[in-house]
Amino acid sequence: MPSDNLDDLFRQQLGQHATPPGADLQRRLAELAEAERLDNLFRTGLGSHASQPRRELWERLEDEHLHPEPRRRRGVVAWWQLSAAAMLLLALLAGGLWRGGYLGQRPALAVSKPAVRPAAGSSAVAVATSAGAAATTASGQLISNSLPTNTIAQSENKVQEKSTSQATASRLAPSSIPIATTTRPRRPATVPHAASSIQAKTRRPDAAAGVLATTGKRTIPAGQPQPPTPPEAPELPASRQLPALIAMMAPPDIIEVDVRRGPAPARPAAQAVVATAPSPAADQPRRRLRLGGLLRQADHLVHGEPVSLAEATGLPESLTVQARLGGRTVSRTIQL
Amino acid sequence: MTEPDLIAACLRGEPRAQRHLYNQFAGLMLTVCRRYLKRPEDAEEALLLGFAKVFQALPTFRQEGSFEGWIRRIMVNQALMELRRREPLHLSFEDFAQPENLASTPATADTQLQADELLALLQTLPPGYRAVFNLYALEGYSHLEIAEALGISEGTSKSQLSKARAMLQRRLAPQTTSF
Repeated sequence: MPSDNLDDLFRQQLGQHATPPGADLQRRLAELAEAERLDNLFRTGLGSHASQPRRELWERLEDEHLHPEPRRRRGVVAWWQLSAAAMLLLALLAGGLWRGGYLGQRPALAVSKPAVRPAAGSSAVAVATSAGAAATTASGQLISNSLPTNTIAQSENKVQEKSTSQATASRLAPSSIPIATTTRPRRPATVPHAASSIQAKTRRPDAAAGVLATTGKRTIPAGQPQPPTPPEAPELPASRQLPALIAMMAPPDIIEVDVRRGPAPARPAAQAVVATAPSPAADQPRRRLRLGGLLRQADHLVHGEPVSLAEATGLPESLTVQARLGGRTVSRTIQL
Repeated sequence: MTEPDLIAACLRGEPRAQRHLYNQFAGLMLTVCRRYLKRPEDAEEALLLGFAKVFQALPTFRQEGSFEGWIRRIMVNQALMELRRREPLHLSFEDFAQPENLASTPATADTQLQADELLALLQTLPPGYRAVFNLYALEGYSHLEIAEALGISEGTSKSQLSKARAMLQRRLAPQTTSF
């Protein structure tokens, strides 16, 4: 058969012939069509669908990513607020110390709060007594003294008027200058006539210098035993009060805390001090000085220069806190 | 405001323009994120981070292609990153065949499937299947691109797409007689 005829034969037989797909191919084609329809269903259903985001999402985006600057601004404001708060604190501290007589000419006074933080559940009893008593009061009274004799006598009268738990002796040689002495019995005193110690338990230690002298005037919360009225109470001589105090302080678990100006003294201090209100006339020049110092420190603070607490408030450059518990003595000097 | 103007204003850092751009695309892009992520809060997190990247990368947009497509790609990448963090990407078929996973979206056969129902159906898929189906069927990625994006082989991509479709068809069968 000629080749042309052969070509024609195949062309005629198969050129228009349609072979039906097999079952397997049919299934595969159906799957593809089904898959395409499935894809189209999701594409059309979700392609242009919009979900509504929560409003907070934009605020978060703005705050956290787009405009975080306001936070920095808030930080600056916070810094100024902190500075203002620090200034106010300094002013209050200076005012409180002045009111308590610290800024006066008196070389010594009782300040309990800056040096001693009250222990939870414990009461604080501040006792001032004679320096010589330090040797005799082995139970650990807290003693400080630096006043001249006439001042001590004055303060003695005041103490006996206002607080029966304090005793002052005037025959003491001043030594180092303790600012305050505080004794903290862990157990409440049970001596009946140490009423003001009960009274003292009801309050926290005060920053004011007149703590010792004014405990009798403190208000007592309801439910606390009422101490005898100080003005009507018979005045006991110091020599009679001292044993009572010793008896009161007799329990062994007593913490003594001494606060002194300057570094730790070479020898142990054992002087008593009772703070009295300074005379306003004597304080006048010093107060002006303190106000100037305070303003100067405020200027330093504004300009970012170092601030001296001692210059601003008239506090000494350093304080020494000495605590005695039983036979152990711990001393620490704080640079202001 | 035209799209180039909007982009230029956003590049200048104008808050109103940024808000406008967000409002224009946030809804669409949240749906994109929801397609990949099961939990709504994860989808929102992806949206948030995605928009942060959009604004950050806006200077690199050359305005040659579709702006929406550019944003969508960023969102898809972010959603995939979130998916990797939140859900194990390769969950075995046996894990998927738990009874709780076989629950289908409640819908009647004669109702048109709504977008939320379709989303719910997608979220019944294992994370890997869901990602492959989304990328192939809805984003138009090739298997090669999917393999690169997910760190799998092309064969795995094809296989997971096939299984994902089969699962979806099984769930759709009782709901729609024909689709």
